[in-house]
Amino acid sequence: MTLDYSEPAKVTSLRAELRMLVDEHVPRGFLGAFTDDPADLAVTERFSRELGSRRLLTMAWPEEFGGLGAGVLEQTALREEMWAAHEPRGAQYMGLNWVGPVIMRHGTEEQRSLHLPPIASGEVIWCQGFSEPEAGSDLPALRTRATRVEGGWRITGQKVWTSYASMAQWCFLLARTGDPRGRKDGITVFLLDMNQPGVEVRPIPTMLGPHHLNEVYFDDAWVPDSGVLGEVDRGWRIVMDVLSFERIGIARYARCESLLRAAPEALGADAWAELPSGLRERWAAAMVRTRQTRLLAYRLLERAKSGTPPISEAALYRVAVTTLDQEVAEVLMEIVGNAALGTSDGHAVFVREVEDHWRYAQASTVASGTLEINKNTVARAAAGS
Amino acid sequence: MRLDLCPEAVEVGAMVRERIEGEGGVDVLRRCVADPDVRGAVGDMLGELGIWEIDISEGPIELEVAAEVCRAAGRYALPYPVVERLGATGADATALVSARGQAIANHRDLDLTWNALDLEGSRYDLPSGRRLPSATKLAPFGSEVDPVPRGDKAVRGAARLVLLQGWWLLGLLENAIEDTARYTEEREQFGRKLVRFQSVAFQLADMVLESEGSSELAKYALWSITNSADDDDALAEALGLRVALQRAAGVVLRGAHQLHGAMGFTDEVDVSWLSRASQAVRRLPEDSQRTTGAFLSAVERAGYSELGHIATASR
Repeated sequence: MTLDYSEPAKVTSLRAELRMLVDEHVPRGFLGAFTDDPADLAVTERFSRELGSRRLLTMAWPEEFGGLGAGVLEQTALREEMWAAHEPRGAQYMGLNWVGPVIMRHGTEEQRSLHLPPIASGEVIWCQGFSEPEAGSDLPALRTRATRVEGGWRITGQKVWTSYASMAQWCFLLARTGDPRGRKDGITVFLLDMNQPGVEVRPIPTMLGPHHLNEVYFDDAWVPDSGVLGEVDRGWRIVMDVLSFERIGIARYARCESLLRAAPEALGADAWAELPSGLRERWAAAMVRTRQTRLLAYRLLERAKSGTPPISEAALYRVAVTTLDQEVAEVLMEIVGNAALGTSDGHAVFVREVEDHWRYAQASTVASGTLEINKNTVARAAAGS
Repeated sequence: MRLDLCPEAVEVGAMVRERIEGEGGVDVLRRCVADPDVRGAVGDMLGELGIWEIDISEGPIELEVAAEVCRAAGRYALPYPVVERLGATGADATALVSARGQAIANHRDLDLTWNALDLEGSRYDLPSGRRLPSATKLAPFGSEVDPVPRGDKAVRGAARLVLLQGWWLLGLLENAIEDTARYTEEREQFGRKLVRFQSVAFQLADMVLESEGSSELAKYALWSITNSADDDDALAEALGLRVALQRAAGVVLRGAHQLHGAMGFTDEVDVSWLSRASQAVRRLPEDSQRTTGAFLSAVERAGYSELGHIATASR
């Protein structure tokens, strides 16, 4: 059996269906849910319901949980098409990509029936309560405390850099239930209802856009016993599951590719030809780099089919895709030139996409495990250390 | 989707590696630099393994096998025109030459029938070649040549040749990384293994990324060139691979030197020889900048097909 990279027909037709839905339901110039315009959030809500009605939202889920049991390639195509279109599912991807699957794997029957249907229909937004002021890359240093009381737990502490917390109904929360010096031991996962008096969300203004990052304060917030996911004190195993899902997560290369491919036409033939040849060469080389990164993603997915791939494989892909994001952003910014700083042409959609991509790319080597952590992981695996 | 080479390719590649290891690995290069006339014996050694019976025009299995042979040869910078012979079109060996009239081809002095192709697929006769009288340490087997244009093209042949050259370079880079990674794990300074210093780990990680990304692209390009019905598409894919490998070679070999410290320049360690031997392959027929220019022209002319979507029909 020789190499085969041909895309199966059903994957190609899925792409066509998704592109048609984007054309139909997502306005031109849409840049994601997290803009100043509330209409953009509404677009994602409508689009998610549309996908939900076609069971495309939960395409990756097993059929017993309302999914289509789609194969890895179809799931990948979905993630690629959505990210290339500025993720019109909005904040849904977190619930769909890993909160749901982790609840399927570790949750009780009650938790599954409470949480999976609303995730599947796109009606609920989750946030991830992981990072703390003193526990960033060093996540096991987290201090948010859960104290057992009759019938449940009281949570006190602070989370930070929490995406979507201002709009989330639920939080996938890590808190310490055991010895404060216990590091990875004594951490428990809680499924916490955000709509309660003990939870306060404070948005952090950033260059990524409004609503994106937040601080979350817990002051005796309440979680019933039924909100504990998995075993008390043994949540780290679940965290590792989450991180491996998350590291595959976003198909960042797909937006890089769609923007690079769109560039010559967006600029127009004459303007394109007038670009310095060295810049067009960087554009061409960036297309190759994008292809390499996409192939690394496919290798990781292929290995994930036969069990969890080594953490170094996921780390290598993360290094590739996050640095790609920034490299491509720089090339695109030079291609659109000063227009990225502002233009009188209100219809300059491509320029706005590039500017948005550049800002967002700045965070890519920090989010979900920093570049430095990932590079250390890769190097130590290479050295057999 | 199948991302692994066929078992025949893996088996033959392992056999060639084992044979070269048995002959001393990079020591074969050391011996041939000391006495270039013994290169013929290297060709005979591969002949004993049946390597010259591989015909890449026969189909995907043969091309995968040839690619793995080139990777195994590149691993030790084997001083013999393995790529040129396995990728030959209409002669014993086909060299890649510059359309700008560059005058060096590796190993053209060897007693084989030769012709040449440039990066656009134009064909040349390569009537003679004599060893460069002033060959530097970077091209110990360089020959002066005078390519004569024939006025016709073999675009597919150029694509395959550039592809195989990419696999050769990939093997060389993989070996350099393995040696460097081992060194950073063994060598201690200030009471710590080198790899425990973050600046060292980061550089090593960058090297690994280049080689792993190139390895995946090399397989993809092989599949694409085998199956695409469009010659221009095949050539663009091959040139894209070369662009990637030239970048990779810069990162990997610079890192290999740096992380080996002063040892990295000595004749004792292999990376020093691999780095030198890579130069002629990285710069001939065109260096990184000019190859990227050729790739840009190919993409602006023929496009760069979407992954997994090549112009139909198996050849």
